[in-house]
Amino acid sequence: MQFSIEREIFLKALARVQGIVEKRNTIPILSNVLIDAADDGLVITATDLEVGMRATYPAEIRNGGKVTANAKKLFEIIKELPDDLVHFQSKENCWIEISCGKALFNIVGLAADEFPYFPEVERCQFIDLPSSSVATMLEKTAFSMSNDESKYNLNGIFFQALETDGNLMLRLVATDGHRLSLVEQPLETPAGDELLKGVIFPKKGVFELRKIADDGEAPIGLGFLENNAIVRKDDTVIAMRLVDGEFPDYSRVIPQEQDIKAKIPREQFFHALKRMAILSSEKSRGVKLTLTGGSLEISSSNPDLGDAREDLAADYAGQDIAIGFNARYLLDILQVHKGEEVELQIKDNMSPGMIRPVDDRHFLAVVMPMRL
Amino acid sequence: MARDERTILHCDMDAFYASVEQRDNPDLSGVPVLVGGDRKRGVVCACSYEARPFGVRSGMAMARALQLCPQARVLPVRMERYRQVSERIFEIFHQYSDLVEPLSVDEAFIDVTASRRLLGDGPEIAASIRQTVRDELDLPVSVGVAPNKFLAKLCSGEAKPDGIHVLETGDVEGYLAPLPLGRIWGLGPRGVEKLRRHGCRTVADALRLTPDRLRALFGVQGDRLYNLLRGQDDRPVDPGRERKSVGAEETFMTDLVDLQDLERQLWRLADQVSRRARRLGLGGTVVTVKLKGADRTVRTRSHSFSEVVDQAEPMVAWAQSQLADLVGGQPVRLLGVYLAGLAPVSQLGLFARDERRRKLDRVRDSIRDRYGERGLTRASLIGLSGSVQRQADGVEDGD
Repeated sequence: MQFSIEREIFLKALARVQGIVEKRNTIPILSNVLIDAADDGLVITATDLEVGMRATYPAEIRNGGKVTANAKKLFEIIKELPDDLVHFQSKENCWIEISCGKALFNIVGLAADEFPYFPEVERCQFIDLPSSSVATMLEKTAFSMSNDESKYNLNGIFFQALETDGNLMLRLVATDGHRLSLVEQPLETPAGDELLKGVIFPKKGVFELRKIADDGEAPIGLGFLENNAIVRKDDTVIAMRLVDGEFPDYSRVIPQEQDIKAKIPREQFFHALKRMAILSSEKSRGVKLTLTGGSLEISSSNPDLGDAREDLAADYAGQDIAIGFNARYLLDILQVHKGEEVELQIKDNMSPGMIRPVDDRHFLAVVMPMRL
Repeated sequence: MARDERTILHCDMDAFYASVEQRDNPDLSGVPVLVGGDRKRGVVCACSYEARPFGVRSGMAMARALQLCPQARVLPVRMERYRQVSERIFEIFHQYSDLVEPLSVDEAFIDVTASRRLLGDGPEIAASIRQTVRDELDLPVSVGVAPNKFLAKLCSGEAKPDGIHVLETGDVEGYLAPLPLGRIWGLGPRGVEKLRRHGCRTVADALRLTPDRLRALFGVQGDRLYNLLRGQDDRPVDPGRERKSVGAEETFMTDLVDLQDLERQLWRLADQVSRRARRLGLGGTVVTVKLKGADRTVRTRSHSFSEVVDQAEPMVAWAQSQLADLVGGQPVRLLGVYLAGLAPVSQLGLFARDERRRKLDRVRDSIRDRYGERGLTRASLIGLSGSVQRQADGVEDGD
């Protein structure tokens, strides 16, 4: 196997897989990238058995063949090479020779046939989604995913196709058990069984999907194969193993009837919360929201530091109520909103509160209160 | 005692570890008992009063202690058990005042000034505490009663074993004067030596040193020493010695290599830690796993949760993901789990399932409070053995 490739292209290819390869050295082959000099270019594959990426790059192929090399070391080497053109050649016993200008590296790889299986995506049926809308939907939900590894069914985003008001919608839901966010968008093409039933994309796959959605205008193809979600964009394919678990019945925790409703200017709400959060307890991050006619008071106190409060005008005419929330949960929501105003809906201080943009019915966030 | 004076108690359990052992095993009563490490290399952590006439003291090498008192029974340290008993002792202390300052598992200051009106004067309260501890736990405790912490601590030493010693303000000077300087709190061998070079051996000798002189010798501590020599100590009893973490660790009979064995030990430790946190009404934000290899090197790794955690599951889930890497193929001698960043769990959960899990924890806790660790365990932990401590505690026989 022998090929030449532009350094910049090779470098970008390797940079993209750094987040995918296994960092802990438990199974050595998973720290490697598979380099395949094929007829139509150089195919680079990386996987940690949960999320994998395969992409094709232009290269001048002299002899076909495959080999694997340590992704991190290879990236470090290519990054520091002196010239624009890199020559790559595999030798006996998986030795690899890399030359560029006057620099010469010999590194030892592992045999390509040890590399894990990657789904054959040619058999997959895709539906197309605009990259920009995928990016927006992920932005509005990803922050609510759980980081608690014991709640594996919450370590991802739930994707579901369903009909609302006669329109087929793609809905994304994420929750960590304390807060939840939901976003939906019309789906142009009919969805397959997987989406109609609903599937959980793993957290790591969500990060990779966000990256690829942000990278260029081309549409994203989404398909399913052998318990994997397959994402395709240009010459890149990402395969991620769907989370094998049941997503909780989220519809039950989305409040239906809530009497207390206040409209609050988003920017002001956000900045006031940020200020008040400074004096909240570092561990619980609790702030107190007090609604009275025409205003919202946010306050915080910390036995070691002191206390703070701030008033803002709010469109509210109901009874007085005080409720505690984790400031970070509220800030996360307000940060991904783009509208002028949000509506805060509450039932009482032990039931979930809901925040949604006044001008967008396709996004909502639910937050469980804290005991005051 | 005058009304405007404070009444401070210093309560100190007598030969605590050894007393617990003697109480738990009637065969040991009246017999010299040494609690501590290995017969050859260990140190005496506690010795019963029966061992003391032979010259045995805690802190002494076990081998030396056994030369002095060869008939002594040697028992391993059952920290878990002592901690359990200690919790009950402190519950009793708290019945007499909110101002309880723990110094260790078996020792505390109690400011009973405000309790006097209701419960009687210092000596009466001290007697009542001693009686309650005796009735409920069948353990001896010595109590010093004095107007401040420094004197109360001296008095409890005086009261031992199993007694009360009361010091009235008027008697302070006379009591302190003949004491060797080594008895003054905070004055170590070097300080004593410094004062000896100035011709002082007793408190009475040192009374002639001016504050300036003491400051020149001891820096800022000089002022405090000047007051202590005169029996004056205005430091408050501070109950806010806040707990920074809860933890549990386990040393194994034989070093563990198998990851599955380690995971089961991990579950048991995390169960203990989470239960301890819940008992305090707290959860934590930082979990740490500690591991000691066969070569005695210690490795630790920590993880911050994005929320306050008081359940075993998230701790184990994270620790499991780290275990293979932390172990690195080395045999493991000791495993520990700690939870820090303690705070109340005030965040409510969205899903009924989480609330059910919390309820389950509460039920499990109450069963274990009532029937001990054998009352309820995870099926996966049945028959789990190999712990040095638990073997000694007798809770490890495979049921």
